[in-house]
Amino acid sequence: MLPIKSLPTDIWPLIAECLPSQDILNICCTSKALHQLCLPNLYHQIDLSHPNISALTDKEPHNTNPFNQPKDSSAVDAIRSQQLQFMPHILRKSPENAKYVKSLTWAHVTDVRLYRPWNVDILRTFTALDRVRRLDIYASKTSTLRPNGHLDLFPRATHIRLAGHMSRDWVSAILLGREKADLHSLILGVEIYSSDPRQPRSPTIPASEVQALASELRPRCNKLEYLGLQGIVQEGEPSNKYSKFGDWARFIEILQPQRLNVWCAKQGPLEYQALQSDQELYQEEAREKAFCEYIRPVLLRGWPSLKAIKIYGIHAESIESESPGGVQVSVDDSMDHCGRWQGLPL
Amino acid sequence: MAATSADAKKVTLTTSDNADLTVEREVAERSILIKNLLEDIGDNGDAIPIPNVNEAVMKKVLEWCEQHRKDPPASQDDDADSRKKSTDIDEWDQKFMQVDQEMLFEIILAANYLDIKALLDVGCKTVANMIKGKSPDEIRKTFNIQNDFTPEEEDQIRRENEWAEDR
Repeated sequence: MLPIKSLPTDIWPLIAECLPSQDILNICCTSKALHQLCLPNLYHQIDLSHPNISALTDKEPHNTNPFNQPKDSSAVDAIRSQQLQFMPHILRKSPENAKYVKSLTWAHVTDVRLYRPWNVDILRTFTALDRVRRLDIYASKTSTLRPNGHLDLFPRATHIRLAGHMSRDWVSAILLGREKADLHSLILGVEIYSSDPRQPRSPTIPASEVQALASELRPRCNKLEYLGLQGIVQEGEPSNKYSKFGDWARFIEILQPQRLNVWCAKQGPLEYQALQSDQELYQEEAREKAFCEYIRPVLLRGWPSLKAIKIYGIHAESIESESPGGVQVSVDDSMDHCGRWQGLPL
Repeated sequence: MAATSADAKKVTLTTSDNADLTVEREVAERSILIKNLLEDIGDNGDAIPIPNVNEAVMKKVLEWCEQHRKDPPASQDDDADSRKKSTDIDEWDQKFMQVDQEMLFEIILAANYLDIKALLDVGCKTVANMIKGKSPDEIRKTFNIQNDFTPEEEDQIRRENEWAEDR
C-alpha cells in the first residue's frame, strides 16, 4: 500500500538540524508526531539578528545618543518584531521550550518607544535561556541595556562572541560568575563602557578594568582554545587610538589561548574608510608602533599552550621569524578582514 | 589498533539476503558497528552477518566507504547542538546520492544502523535539500505523511512560532 518506505522517526530530528527555522516550522506543521519530534530543533539555534547588523546600526561614527534611530530601520524593525514575538513566547506561553535553546544569536537595538519593558523582557529572556552553549550577542551603540551587577547569565556557554557596545556590567553578567562552564572560544569585538550611570558614557573602560576582567575570567579559561580580539582600538582622537594595545596585550597574556587572532584595526568599515583619508599614513605608523611596543613582545614570549597566531591589519613581518618554535604565525596587513565579523569557530 | 599489514586484510560481510561481500577491512571499518564487532570478536576470518541491510544497499554503502576510506575520523566532541546549519554536500557525494527515494532512505537507514556518521550526515542533508522551501502539504506528499492536524491546530502552531518565519 505504501509505495515508499517512510523514514524512521529518530532520523527526522537529524534532518531538521540541517535546516533553517522556516523549514523546520513547516515540518512541524505536517503532523502531530513530527511536531513533537522536531519542535526542539526549532529552538536549538535561535537567530534573531541580521548579518549586517553593525553596518545597519552604527553608520554614524560618533552617534552616542541613545535616542537616535538606526538609518535603515526596516531590517532592524523586522528583527525587533521577531524578538517581540519570541520573548513573550519563552517568558509566558511556552517557557518549557527555553531548555531546547543551545545556540543564541541576538542583536540588541534599543527602540525608544519600547524602552523600559523591552529591556526588562530581554534580561528575563536571557535569564531563561540558561542552556545556551553558543552565544553571539551584538549590541548597537544606542543600546541602553544595563543589567544590575548581580545577574549571572548563560552559565553553560562555552563559545561566546560579544560585539558592538556593552556596559561593563553586561559583559560581567555574561562572562563572569561562579560555576560557569569552561570557555572553549571567546571573541571580543566590543567596546566596553563604564557601568556607572553617573559617569558620562566613555567609549572604553580604563586599563585597570581590562586587566581585572582578564583575571576574573581566567578560571574559566583553562581550556581556552581560541581567543579573537576585534575591538581593541579606542574610539576618538587618532593620537589615542592605540593606547589600549597595552591593556589587551596583558589580557592575552593572562588568558593564554591556544589559538589567537587579533584584528589590530577597528572592526567596522568606518575606520577602513578613515584610513583612506589623509590620516592614513599617520594611523598606520601609530598602529604599527603600538603593536610592536605592546603586543609583539607578549607574542614573542609566548606560553606553553600557544599553537597559532593570526594578526590582521599590521605588517610586522619579523614576528613570523622570531616567534617561539612550533607556533604557526600568519600576518595579514590588508584591511579586508577588518570590516567583516568572523564567525565563531566550532 | 594493530597496524600489522592491515591494509591488505579483508573481511567478508553477509547481507540480509545472504550475499557475501568481501572488502578491505579499512573500508568496512568506516562503519563503527563493524569496527567494534571486529575488535570484540577478533578477526578470525568468519563472515560478519549484517542482518538489517540487503546486498544492493550494502554495495552502495561500501562504494561510499571506499571513496571515503582515508577521511579523518569524526571528532568525538562534535556537538550536534552547536553544529552549523548547512546543507552543503561535496560533489562526489551529491552524485552518489542521486538515487531513487527508496534507495536514499535505505542508505540513511543502513548508515544509521552501521553507525557511519558522515554518510548519515550526507543522507540527512540530501533529504533536507528535498524539504527546503516546501510547504507542509508538499512535505506530506513527498514523504507520505498523514496529516492529523485540523486546519485550526496547524494555524495555531504557525502563530505560536511566528518568530521563526522568514523575514
